Amino acid sequence: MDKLLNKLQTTLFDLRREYRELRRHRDPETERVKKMIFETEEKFEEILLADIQNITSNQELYSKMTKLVGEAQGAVEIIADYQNKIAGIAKVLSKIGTVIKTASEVLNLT
Amino acid sequence: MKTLKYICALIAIVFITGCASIPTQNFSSLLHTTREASEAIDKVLQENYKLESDIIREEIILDERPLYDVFLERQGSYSIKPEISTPMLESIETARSALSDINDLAIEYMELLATLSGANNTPKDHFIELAESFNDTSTAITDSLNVDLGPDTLPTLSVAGSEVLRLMLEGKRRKLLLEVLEGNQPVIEEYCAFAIELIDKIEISLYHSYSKYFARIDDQLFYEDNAEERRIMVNRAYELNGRYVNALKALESVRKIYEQIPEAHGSLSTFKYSRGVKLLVKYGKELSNSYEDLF
Repeated sequence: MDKLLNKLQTTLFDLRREYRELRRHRDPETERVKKMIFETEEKFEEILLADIQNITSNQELYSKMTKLVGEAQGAVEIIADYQNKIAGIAKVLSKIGTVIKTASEVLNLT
Repeated sequence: MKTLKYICALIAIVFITGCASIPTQNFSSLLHTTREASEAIDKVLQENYKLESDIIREEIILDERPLYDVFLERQGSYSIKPEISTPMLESIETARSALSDINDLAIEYMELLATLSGANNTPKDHFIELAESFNDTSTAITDSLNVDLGPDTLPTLSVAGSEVLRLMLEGKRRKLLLEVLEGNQPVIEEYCAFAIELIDKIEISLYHSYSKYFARIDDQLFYEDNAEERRIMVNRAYELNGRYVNALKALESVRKIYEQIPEAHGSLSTFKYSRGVKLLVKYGKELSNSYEDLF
């Protein structure tokens, strides 16, 4: 596909140069070459479209990327869960301290 | 003396657990540059689309293309082709939609990586909160047990406690990040190869539109005798050239970014400021500079 595109690109380049030359001399062949340029442009564009469609039809990559996002999302959720657990531990420790404090105050009172 | 012991214990814990926390800057750089590259490609494709639409308009005006060919095509009951369409416009739209879909997924992934690394969190605040909570706990316990640990010991204890919890979290975070980064490296390589392949086609497409447009201006100029009209045409050619050069510069920077992303992604797992990330930031800056002139 690439070779064909390159070949057509070179053909277009040559045709445009030829067209400018003929145009300069007001040659009756000018219009014929102009038509050839349009036809080559059309062909080039059709091949480019087919080429791009061929590249973008890679569905496997889309599903791999979706899976990759899913995995990263899973890891973020695990960390958030872990972070909450750690915050929970801190709260529990804090409560234990308060309970001990209250208990000792009660004991002192009695 | 006791305070010193706690500090030593804390240093030992930090040393054993692996010392360094994750450099979140690298993750933010990767996310930022990828987002910028994705936006730049889209702008180049918009420019390409605009160039093609302008050429079609010119062709219709010059009677080189019939109006009916472009607009009116019945596609079913009560519907006609809603927009102008040619193979060239279709290929630009196909590339645009494919890159937009895949880049959105990549950006979502990188946002999640940044969150996972802690770049999108405020872990400091969280651990200050924990330290305060620990301080209260320790004060409560020592008060109730009627133990005097000295003025510096309690804050040190609470900081050490929260630091241990922070390191536990960091350890878990590092482990998960390594798994995600290493497991997904081949997909990132495939993604960038896909983007580069399409970027190369966009470059061909852009050159084709530019040279086609330029050839038409040149043709009109040849047959035009009016000096004012000629001035307008030459100015259009200059303007077209400027647009093409800017789009090409942006595309070149974007290509370099996609070449660096696999290395930058791979080096995130070493948690060092790598060559990959450094280059990514450099090309990102280059892109920003040409980006400003793009439109």
